[in-house]
Amino acid sequence: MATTRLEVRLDENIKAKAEKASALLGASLTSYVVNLMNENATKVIAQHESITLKDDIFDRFMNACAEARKPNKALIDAATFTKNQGIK
Amino acid sequence: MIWSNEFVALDKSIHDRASFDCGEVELNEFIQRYAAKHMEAGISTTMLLPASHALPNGKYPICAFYTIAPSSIAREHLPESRRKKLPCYPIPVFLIAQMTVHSNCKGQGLGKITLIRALKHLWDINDHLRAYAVIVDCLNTNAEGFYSKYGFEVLYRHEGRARMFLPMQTVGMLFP
Repeated sequence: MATTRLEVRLDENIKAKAEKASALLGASLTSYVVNLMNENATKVIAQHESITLKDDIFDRFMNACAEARKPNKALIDAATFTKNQGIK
Repeated sequence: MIWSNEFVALDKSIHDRASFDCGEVELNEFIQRYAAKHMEAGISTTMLLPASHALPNGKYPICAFYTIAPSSIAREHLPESRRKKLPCYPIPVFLIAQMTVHSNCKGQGLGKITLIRALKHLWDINDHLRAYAVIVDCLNTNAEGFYSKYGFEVLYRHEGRARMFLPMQTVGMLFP
């Protein structure tokens, strides 16, 4: 629901161009901008939150997770060190 | 700078972000400008180890911090054998998005303490919301050296930076 406002200061030329584009799409400038924002925000968030791997790298990664190695000595020592320092 | 004994969630009214300096501009800017906003927006959680004593402004300096977030990994193309068994992908992972120590606290083992606390935090979350692995992005070769020392493996390199991982099962064996 449209219950909040966003005020924007922008270049005259960009506004004129956007008005033309929204008219061509038969939309109001507002609904044009809001849709654009919504679509782009979804894309940016998806790119930020997800990683896509080439098939061979993905398969190697999944195999490594399925046959996980034991923690190495450095990591075990680090855990012991943290415990001894009493840091939670 | 003497640190306290417990990592806590970033609170900009209590913790002094301005005085944080780890020698890396990108990480300094993150804690100073983005960490709190990302937390409000639900993008990531930043946990930090405050100093034991407050500054004259009443705020506590930050000795070290880590930032964690959920993420997912997808396969570019679905394998034939799996196509009928959707949904298998993408698979969930945890991201240690940021992790660093204040320059004044370096050389005392606080880096490995921060790593262990971040892994323990993610292991606790894994009780409720499972993930396959912990992923880290390395800012430079120093970071890459640090993580590989503790058993992280390179997933791939992008624009000169390594993205590394440690399977969640390995993390589990660390906290029996």
